[in-house]
Amino acid sequence: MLEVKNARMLYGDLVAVDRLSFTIKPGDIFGLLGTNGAGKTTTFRMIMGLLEPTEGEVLYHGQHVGYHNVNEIGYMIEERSLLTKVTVKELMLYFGQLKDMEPKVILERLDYWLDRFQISEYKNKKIKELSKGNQQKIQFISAIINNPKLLVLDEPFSGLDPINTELFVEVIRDFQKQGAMVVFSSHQLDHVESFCEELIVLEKGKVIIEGRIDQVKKDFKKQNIKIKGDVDVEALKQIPGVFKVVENSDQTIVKIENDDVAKAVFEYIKTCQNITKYDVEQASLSEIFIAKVGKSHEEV
Amino acid sequence: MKKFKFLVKYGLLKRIGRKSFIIANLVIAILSILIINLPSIIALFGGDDDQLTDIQIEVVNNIGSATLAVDLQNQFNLGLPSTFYYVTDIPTADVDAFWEDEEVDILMTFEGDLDDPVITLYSKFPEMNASMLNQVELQLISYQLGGTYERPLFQTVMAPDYEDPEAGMMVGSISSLLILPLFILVTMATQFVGVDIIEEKSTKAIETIIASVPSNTHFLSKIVASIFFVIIQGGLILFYGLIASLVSKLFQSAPMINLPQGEGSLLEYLGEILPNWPILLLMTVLFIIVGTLFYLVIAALFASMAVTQEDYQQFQSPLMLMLLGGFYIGIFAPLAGGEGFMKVMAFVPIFAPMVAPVAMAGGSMTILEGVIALIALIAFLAVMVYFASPVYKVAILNYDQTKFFKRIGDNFKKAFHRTKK
Repeated sequence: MLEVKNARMLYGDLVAVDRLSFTIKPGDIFGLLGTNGAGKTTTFRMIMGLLEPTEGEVLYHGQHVGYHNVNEIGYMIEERSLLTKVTVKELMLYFGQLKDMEPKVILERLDYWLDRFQISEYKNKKIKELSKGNQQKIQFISAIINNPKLLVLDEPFSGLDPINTELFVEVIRDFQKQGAMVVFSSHQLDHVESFCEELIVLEKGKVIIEGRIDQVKKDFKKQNIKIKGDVDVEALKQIPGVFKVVENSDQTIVKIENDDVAKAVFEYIKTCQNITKYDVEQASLSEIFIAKVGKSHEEV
Repeated sequence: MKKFKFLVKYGLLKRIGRKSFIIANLVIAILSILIINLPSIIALFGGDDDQLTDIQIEVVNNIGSATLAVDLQNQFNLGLPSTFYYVTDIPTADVDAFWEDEEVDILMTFEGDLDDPVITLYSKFPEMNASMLNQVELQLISYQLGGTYERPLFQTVMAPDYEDPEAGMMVGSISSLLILPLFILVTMATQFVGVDIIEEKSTKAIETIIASVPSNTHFLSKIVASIFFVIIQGGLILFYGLIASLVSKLFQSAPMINLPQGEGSLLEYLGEILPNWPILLLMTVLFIIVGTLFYLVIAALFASMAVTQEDYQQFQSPLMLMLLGGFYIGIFAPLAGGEGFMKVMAFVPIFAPMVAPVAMAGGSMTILEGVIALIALIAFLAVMVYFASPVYKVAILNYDQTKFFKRIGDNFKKAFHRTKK
């Protein structure tokens, strides 16, 4: 279990992370979201033990994270962090031995992962000769080569095409099934929504959203109603509680303040012609994120 | 400890396992052998034509002494054993033929009688004329005195405070020979440390590395790997020197080092000009080890604050200035007679590793003063490590690219602000 307890990180007068608390259990996938500079990387560095919190603590199975338990952790940073002048094999031997792995085991696992990511032919190629996507795969392999029990991934899908993204997701799901804890950040909120159970959204170091995704969505009262048929947009806008109406090529999306407004909209729809779709949906994570972060920006 | 050993081994193999290291060492080995044996090699290609090993002298004897040629030959050969004078009698002098004759070097004609001779000297080596005529005069004096000239035994006594300028020059040469490889080795080692760290930092690979090993371990492993590199490279340079010396023995006809006549081995000569050379050697080795450590700590610290390769060029300049300063003081202060200045600089830790061994060898610093300078250097190194370690920890993961001094200041502030907590 990973416990971040009331962690606070100060750089001089700047509060990078302010009293952050969350817990990740084995088999959990946890999302850490936020705009640039929100404090995600600082949080990851605190989890990795690279930064000591000014206040609070980070515990891994009840112990402080340090170099005694770092061999069980896999870490992938947002940017490329590979030595470019060495080959894939040399790099993995270097990084693997820094996790106290035996060279033979490293090479066996490397062969497995290269095969799974369909890049076996690059084993003896220098890193600088690989495409960005393949470098990303190598970086991901370097984070999981030690079969970590805690996987810390900072923007793992950045720069990947949809096929390779799916490949990464499958591997992360496999680690989840094996009982590993996964904490990751992403700007692609659809990924977070698709496989993350719990999340925290940071803004300027402060938590502005936290909890299970379904609960977060439930707590966020605003909903969307998708309608197909002959409707009068101006009439929809006049209904109390409707704050926005968006016309798409094939449907109209009515954004409402809460569940009660849906009834009023439905009453109006009953008077319209050719209605083929009436669907009330919870707001997407992206909408919640924009709404909350935007509000936070306005408050500042 | 396992990770530390691995990092040291990895760092060392990365340096000595590269093609560039092998090529550089091949070049150093060949150059060492060539430079040390250069005079012999030149001699092989006919460069020893100017060396007067055999001198042919023809004498036209018209003064009535039957043994003049033999006596002159004996007289001339009392001098340097490396040059042999052959003196032969000829009946008449053909001056034009002499100038064209490549075999004969000097022609002398003796006219008149023994008491009042007229001697004409034709020489293809006019620089020897004065010496030759002195020898001839001595021979003629012995004829006039009616006996064989016995060379007196000359003894010279020096004033107690007399300093042999030749020995001084030799000490200067030894100092130069000492400081140059030290400068090259330290420069190479600091370059390796800096380039190694900046390569890991600029590619952000440092994030993955520091996530696996403590920054102190990483810091120390870089320095220890470089020290091992210095020892290996220094050993190899000595080995090349040994091979070069062995090669030079093959060229018996043209020895490279013209030690003063009658002396034994180089060590014996060293013993004469530097009676305390074993202590000096020990002190020099200590200064090399502590000094290299000191410069490596500075190199690692500056490299950790740099973010890109270009950035590092700026950050390494203070270190290069220190090294160059020490090098120039060590080389030129003894030549310029700046013993006092050199002695002061030998106590300044940033210059001491280069200057102190030269100052001790040159006599401008006593061994006791050298020990004090060494202790000061060790203390300064300890302080450096104490300050460098927390700063390195902060700087190695800091990608701030503000101006040079601001960045240094910020890293120190962050390091000690955090340490206090």
